[in-house]
Amino acid sequence: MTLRNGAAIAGVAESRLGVVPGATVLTLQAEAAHAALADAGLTKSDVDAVFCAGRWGRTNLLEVSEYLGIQPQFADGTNVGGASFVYHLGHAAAAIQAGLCKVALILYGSTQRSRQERSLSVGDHKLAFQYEGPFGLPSPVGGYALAAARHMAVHGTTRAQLAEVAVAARQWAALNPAAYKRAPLSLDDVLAAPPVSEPLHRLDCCLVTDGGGAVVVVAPDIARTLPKPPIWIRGYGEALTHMVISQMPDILQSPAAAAGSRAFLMAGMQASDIDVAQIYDSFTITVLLTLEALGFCRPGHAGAFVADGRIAPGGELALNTSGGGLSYCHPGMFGIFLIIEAVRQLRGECGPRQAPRHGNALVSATGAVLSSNATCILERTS
Amino acid sequence: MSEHHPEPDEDSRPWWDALARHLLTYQTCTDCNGVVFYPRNRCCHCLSDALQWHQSLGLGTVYSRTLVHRAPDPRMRDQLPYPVALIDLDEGFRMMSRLVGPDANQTPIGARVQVVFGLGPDGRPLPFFEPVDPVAAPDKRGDANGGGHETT
Repeated sequence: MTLRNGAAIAGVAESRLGVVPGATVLTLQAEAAHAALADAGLTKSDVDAVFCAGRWGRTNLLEVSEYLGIQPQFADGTNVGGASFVYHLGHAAAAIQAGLCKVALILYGSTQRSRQERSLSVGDHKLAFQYEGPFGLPSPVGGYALAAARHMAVHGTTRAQLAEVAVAARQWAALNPAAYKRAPLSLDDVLAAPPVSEPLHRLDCCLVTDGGGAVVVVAPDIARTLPKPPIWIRGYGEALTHMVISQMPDILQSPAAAAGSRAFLMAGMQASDIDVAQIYDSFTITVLLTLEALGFCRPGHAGAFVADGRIAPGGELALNTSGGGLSYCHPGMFGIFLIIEAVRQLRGECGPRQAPRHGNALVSATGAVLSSNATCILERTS
Repeated sequence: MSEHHPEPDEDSRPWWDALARHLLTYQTCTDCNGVVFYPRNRCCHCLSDALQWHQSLGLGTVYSRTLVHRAPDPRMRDQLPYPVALIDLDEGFRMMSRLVGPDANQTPIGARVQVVFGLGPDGRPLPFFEPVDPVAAPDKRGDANGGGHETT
């Protein structure tokens, strides 16, 4: 069984991004939904499936469906952190292929910046968190800092190599009018930023913004009738390994390794075949670990791989061309924005930041503290 | 409001009770011999309920560490910066902890450490780790079923 070419992405859109003080999580998702359906050439009445996840509400799938006036015949609220929306993409493709729905709407929205909801706390010290919370590790940054520290100790990776990820992201963001941070950023700026949880400093960490997004996934027969070229799902894989960082089997082995190998197997491809990569950059170290896990370089070599502008505009690998969570936006969960940018790149809609080769794109989203990963390979032609 | 307190449950109450007596404990499965930590009522390797409690010798190695500059808990702000670490105990389990002692902020990954008991933010005993004196205890390996050893 395969999802290959069983579904296509027909529409994508962001809501307002950055600082959106008057908005609610629902207004942002409605905005994005309307724009993504317009992008697809579809209307609300075509939607028969809703997928969402968020840090708001008690039953957010119910709340957002009600607000939009949609009574879906299929719905999924899988929540595995910021990777959730790429899980939704795979699950939507599976549901479409099984005949359970035809037009799926994936949604996200957050007002965490304007409402100052961001916290470094894990919350109540119960269940697994009772064994970590009392020690004062800021979350999630501390978990990624532990991975970065070990990567440096085992592989000799340097803070400057981590900083290359942030600098390249900012160079891409400078080419993206929707990006929140576009001012030039140097390696020295990243190195001199105040420490948060060493070895990670402020500019190794993703932004804190508001924003929302939407993605429309459709059945093949619908995809072929729409005005824009469909973006086909060629390979998909997911994996999760733990919740709390002390339970991660190997802190340098991202679940992206298992998810990616499943996606590549389904697609009949490997990392060297990929034209455009959108890799969740919650922190600079996340990109290094994911590049290694997906086979873009050997384990331990990602520090050297990202150096010398290889992932910056004009470099060998068009990576995080929106500016990523580090410079474009990061409203708490970023996975949906990876899909949005990948689709725009594949359609050739990206203007000055357009990757020269854009026949296929890889999206790899990591959630919580290196806990979950979904990787999807998309392409323009089926 | 980030002042949370550990909430012992039926899995963890024996662990917290042992800590109150300055004992660090863990479980093993008598069916599959797997080491289980954090405490559970079923083995996370084979789902057997045949779990036994053991006392750890409290000796281990720093798997990773981070020096924290932003405290999630306001009660910890006056301790900043402080080192949080993952410790691989010799009995085969990994746990989060704090590194303590005069050189705590410089204790590297790979360092041999031993448990010492201190107080958490709510006054509850917690297991912390400090470097093992390399002369007094040259890389002493723990016994996998090391019950009965005093660790304090």
